[in-house]
Amino acid sequence: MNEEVIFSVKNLSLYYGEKKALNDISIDIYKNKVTAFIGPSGCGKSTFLRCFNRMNDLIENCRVEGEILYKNENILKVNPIYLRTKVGMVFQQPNPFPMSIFNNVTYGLKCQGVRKKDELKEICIESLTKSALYEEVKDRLKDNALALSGGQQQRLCIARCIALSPDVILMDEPTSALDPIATSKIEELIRELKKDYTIVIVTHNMQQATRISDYTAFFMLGDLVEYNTTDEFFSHPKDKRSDDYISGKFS
Amino acid sequence: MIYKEELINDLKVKSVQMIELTFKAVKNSIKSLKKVDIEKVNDDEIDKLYVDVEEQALKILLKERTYSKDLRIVTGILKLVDDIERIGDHAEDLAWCSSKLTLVEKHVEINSLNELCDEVLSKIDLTLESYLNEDSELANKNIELDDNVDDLYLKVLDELEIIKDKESNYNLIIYSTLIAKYLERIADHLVNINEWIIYIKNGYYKGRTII
Repeated sequence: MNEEVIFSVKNLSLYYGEKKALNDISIDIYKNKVTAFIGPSGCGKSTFLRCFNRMNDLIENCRVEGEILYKNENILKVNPIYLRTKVGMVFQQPNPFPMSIFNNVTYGLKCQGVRKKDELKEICIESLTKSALYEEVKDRLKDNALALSGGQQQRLCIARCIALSPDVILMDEPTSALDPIATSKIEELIRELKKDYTIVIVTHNMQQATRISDYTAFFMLGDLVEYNTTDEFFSHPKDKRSDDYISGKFS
Repeated sequence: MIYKEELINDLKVKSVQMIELTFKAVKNSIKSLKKVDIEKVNDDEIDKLYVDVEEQALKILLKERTYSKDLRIVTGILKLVDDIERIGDHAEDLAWCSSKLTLVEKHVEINSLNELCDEVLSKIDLTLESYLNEDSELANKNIELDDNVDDLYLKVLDELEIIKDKESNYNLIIYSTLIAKYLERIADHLVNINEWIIYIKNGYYKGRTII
């Protein structure tokens, strides 16, 4: 794996109160690649994903040990607000704000103090273009974002994330609430986005993982069981638990 | 057993039936090279099993989660039956050649052709064994043995040239040449089958990983 590492996780364990949800995980995430996290429900993959932008900080009694190095800095020790501008996130359910499409995309920028209308508009158009939504909404940027379809809303959320020029986009089952057409548009978009961004995605859809990801990490009961290139993982899994899981021998 | 395993098991059973039926047809055709009676090769039954295996494999790929070993079994069998089907055609070709030879012609001793028949018969048994046991080591040995077949094929041609000068029997020469060619082709398809056996076992095809 001669790739540039963007995140280097070392001996990371996470506790919800007394319960250990992630167990001594070490993994490198590669730049400009799509990394898929898969595993049965409750295995810790979403919890682990949230570690990369410190979303777990918002959960009471959640404690993290170990370190996640991002540009040689332990993200567990940096300002989480700054971190989240560099590591954006897209969730399972599209969650546009109840405001116009334009305001949704530029919301984060305004929070950062960007006020120049021309600059906001330029970034808005660029972000919507990158998220393959601009052509569909260019004549109604002032319309309420809640009027968009589910697939469009999800691409809008991606545009909102891109507007802040992140390095990494985290996606937690981004297509599980979408129909196959909207799903394939998001998947196509992910393939495009990886040219400029590093993407880490949690998915239950293994065919999706094989279609879009370069690397796959398989989690079970809080352990990272196996991590390999996606092609290798799905054709020659090394661990019996991985093999059983992808072959459907248990759920 | 989960439903997918049943489907894959059924696919394996059908492929074995097809292989056994085809190999039996080749053996009968080879036997008929020394007999008056020609046993008819039932290529239709082989073709029917070929279609069954293809349909079953595609159905599994369409409907089931085929990753890892499952994917190799299904795609490996899908490729392997192509060669089996071609062997079935050549079994029919051999029987046809045999029907063109008189009993006297059949008893002209062509030593290298007899050896070639024996070599192919042995290779058939070893290939079936490697498939049934998913034995990649044996499959590798079977592939290496193909050089013997190629050498014998050339020896047959040399021997036929000598016989041609001696006997001037063009019927014998023409059909014996064709028989040797079909046997050599059958051996080539057996090599392919052994290559797919290795792929099913460990994912390597001709020394490289396909998936």
